Amino acid sequence: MEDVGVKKAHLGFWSLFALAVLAGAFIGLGAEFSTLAVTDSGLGFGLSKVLGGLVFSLGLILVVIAGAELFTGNNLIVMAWVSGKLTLGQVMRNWVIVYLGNLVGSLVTVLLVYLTRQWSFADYHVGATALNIAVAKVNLSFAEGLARGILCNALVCLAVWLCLSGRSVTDKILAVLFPITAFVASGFEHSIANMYFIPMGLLLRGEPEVVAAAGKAAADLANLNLQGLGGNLFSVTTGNIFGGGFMVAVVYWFIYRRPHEVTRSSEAATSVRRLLDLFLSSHQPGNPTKRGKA
Amino acid sequence: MENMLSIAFGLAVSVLVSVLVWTTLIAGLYQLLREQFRQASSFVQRFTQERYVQRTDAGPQVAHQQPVAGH
Repeated sequence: MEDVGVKKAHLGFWSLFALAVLAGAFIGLGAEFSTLAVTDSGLGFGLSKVLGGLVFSLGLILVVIAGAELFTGNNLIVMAWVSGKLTLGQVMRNWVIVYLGNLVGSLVTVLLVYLTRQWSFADYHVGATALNIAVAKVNLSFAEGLARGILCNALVCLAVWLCLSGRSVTDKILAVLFPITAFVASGFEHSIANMYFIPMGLLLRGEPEVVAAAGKAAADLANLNLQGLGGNLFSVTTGNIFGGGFMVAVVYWFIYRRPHEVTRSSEAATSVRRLLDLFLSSHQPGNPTKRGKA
Repeated sequence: MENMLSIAFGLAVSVLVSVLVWTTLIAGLYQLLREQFRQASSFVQRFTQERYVQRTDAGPQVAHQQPVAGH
């Protein structure tokens, strides 16, 4: 995982950005498929949610098999940082480019899906489902968004982690399926999926047939605006970074990859000191400062 | 009482996680900007040096063809 992280961090800007746009589009397609599947499914609450999660897995399957750069999966790069193979600046470069690329990919998918008028299927009930999902997301409190974001990305990063042990395409698909179904069915929050769901709701709130099919009044849609989108992304992204970067990457690094030459009595202190050193250090591996040269 | 506890717990988790994540992000962004600035300044420095070396290597021939102000 560390070597994968190092490779990802050293990708050129345009390659990274293009792959990130693809990942945003893939997740958007998974979200669109999920919206369609849960509309009038005729199943009970739990099974309907599981079905939505199952088909949403399309997004991460495309990311993992076809190859793309997803912000939430790339939170695992933290492992290469804590091992000292990357600087925090290099991690941040990857995250900033990938996050923006994912946003672009998701928004393009939103526009294309909107133009298809697919939301008018089933007497506008597909649009109504999308609108209800978006309204529920923008009405979350900060703590709810944060907690759901943490749990979501812990599962997404575990899915990516499991994928690394898969050799064939089938292995990888099976590895992705259950963690992703679990997070969607549980109602956890994925920042990149929300870049599809909420903008789609923003467009659909302007369609009277969809609003009527959803049974929403104007007051229900009060928080469905750009501020609501920003608030949701802020809390959910924070949670995603903590869930993937700290709860999976740092925890697995602590278990398997931290330096083993230390004595048992000073293990904890050394590990904490190493993390603090990395955090505070300005040392850049492979890029020494050029002070003193004319 | 239980409600107060749940609010306090939610607040504590939110503050702790947010502080940890955003301190890391801000430190990373600062380091990224510093790396970019360092790369840009070393590029400018190298470019200036190369220009200087080219001029001095070419010597009076170049100086004759393209007189530079101040020389």
